[in-house]
Amino acid sequence: MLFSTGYLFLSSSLKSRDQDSVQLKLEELSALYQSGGIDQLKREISIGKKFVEKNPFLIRLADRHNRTLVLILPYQWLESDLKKLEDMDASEDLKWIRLPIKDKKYEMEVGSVFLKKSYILQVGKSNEEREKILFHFREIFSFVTIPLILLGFAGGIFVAHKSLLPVRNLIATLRSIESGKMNARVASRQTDDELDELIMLFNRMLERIESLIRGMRDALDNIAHDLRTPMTRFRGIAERALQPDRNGESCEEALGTCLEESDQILKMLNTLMDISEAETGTIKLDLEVVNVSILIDRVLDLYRYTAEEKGIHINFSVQNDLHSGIDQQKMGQVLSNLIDNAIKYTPDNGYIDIDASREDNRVVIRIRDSGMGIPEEELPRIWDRLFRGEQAHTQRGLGLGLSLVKAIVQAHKGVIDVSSELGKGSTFTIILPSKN
Amino acid sequence: MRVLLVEDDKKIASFISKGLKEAGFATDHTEDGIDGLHLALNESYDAAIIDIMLPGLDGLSLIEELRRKKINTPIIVLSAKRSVDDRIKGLQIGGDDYLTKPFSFSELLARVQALIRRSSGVTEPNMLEVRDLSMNIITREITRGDTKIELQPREFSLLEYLMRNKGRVLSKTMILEHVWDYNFDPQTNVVDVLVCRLRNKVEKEFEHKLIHTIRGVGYVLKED
Repeated sequence: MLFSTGYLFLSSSLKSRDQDSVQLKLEELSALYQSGGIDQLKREISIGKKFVEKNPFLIRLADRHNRTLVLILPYQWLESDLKKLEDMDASEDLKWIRLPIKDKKYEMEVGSVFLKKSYILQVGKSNEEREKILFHFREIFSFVTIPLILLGFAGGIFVAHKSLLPVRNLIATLRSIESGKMNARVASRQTDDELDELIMLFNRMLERIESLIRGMRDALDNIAHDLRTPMTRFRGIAERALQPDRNGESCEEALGTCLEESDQILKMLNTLMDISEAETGTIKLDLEVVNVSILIDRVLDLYRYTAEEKGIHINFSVQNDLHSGIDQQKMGQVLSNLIDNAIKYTPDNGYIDIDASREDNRVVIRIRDSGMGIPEEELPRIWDRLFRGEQAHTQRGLGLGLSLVKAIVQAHKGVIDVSSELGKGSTFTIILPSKN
Repeated sequence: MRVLLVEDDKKIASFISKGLKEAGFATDHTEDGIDGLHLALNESYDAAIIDIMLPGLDGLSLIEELRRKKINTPIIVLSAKRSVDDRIKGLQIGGDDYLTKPFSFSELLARVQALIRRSSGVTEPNMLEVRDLSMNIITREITRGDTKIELQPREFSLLEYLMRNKGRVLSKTMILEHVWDYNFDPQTNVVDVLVCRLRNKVEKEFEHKLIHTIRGVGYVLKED
């Protein structure tokens, strides 16, 4: 842009300089004609003929019929076609005509005037010099400016390329995830700028998604595995019932067992789903501020007769006005599982203590039984899915209750702990945030 | 009695239809939600059993549309989802009862019969009698033959429930819902314990057994 403006300016000023010098010459010769007449003019022109090398001008004097009287041509222009000049109409005003020079790139610019309507005077000058300067100018442009522009372009591309590198890394990572590579991460640039933060957030999101997917996959594997055993039993019973020697009564018996087994499988599936939901964090807790005393009372009501049947005495003490943000139904499941266990493993005429209080702004619920206790080596494993302790085998159960309890408590951002003494009993302690 | 069944699983639909027919119901069945809506709007039914996942129009939208058109047929919602949210949603939009798959047919039947009874506006009697067992709802007096029987509140509630539904099998879930107002399975044998206690008080001293266990389904109070 700058260059083309400069170029135009330069070429037009050079052109007007050339034209000015031609005009000057014309005026000089006209003045000579005015003062000394045609002879004086002829003489002057002829003198110039001798210094033809030094004279850069073409000068032609012709009569009114445009027949050449005197002609001076710089020697390098000898090839020019003068026919055009001879064909020119005479006119009072200054007229310009362009005369190509044979085999050269240059042209001659010829100015033409009519002297007193009797002679035609033509003065021309080559634009060679001008073209040379302009050629140099163009040359400078192509040697300096074009590389400069190219360099600018390249620099721009380079900078853009470099600053978009993290974005491209992001895209590449996304692509690899799309093709199933879940553990791909974008490398941090350690620059502490917005892009770095974006990368960090992006990685964190990937982390969360990956752990969710892994959790779900594990849960699915576990469920598939855990269902195989009861399914096998189910199948076995049905198959045996189909043996040819079976009578109607034993078929009925088998069908009844099948129904029970199918209920058992359903119960297991439901519990496993609950555990998985709670563990992977996909559980939807319906939290509301709940009076803990009322909640425990409601669960205890369910077990009153069961405890009574075994002669078990349940002591329940709760601090007044004890509230916590709880999903009633799910925490009810937790408490009912723990109380159910406590009753199951406490011998006849034993006791169960339940107390709830506020400690350090947290809600603590303790369920202490006077049961057989849990051997120390079994303690860490009681939360495992399908783990059933030595003594547990005398009781019915799926071995899933405590896994569910732990998962739900943790989903409430709470903690559950157990302590036990063989032969004396176990204490389960649930600690919940006072208000979730 | 005429029941509309909208269920897209052919096998489930077939065993429900057969069972309802055996129980004396006429059943119209369709697999498509739009057809179901059409039938429910143009025919008169005593009850409808509607699955949630349906081709054409889902069950919840179907029920919503029916209720908007002021069709008050009692509806049981069937669903493969057992979350509390789904249950609440099903009941909020106008379902009268909610049953999660898999379910026992006896339970479905008992629920259908209970719904029809409720909506027909028949006043429940204050005196219940099954053979020599009688219960006065007002005075809460129970006698079997000449013997007076003392029951605790939950036991009374269970016996009343069984007597009102004599001849119908009640599942453990239904008993939990009715007696304790619990609508989730606490995974315990509390129902068995309660039934056992009730048996001790109502049957132990007597020759004729009234409460029968139906394996894998629940309990039933039988007259014969």
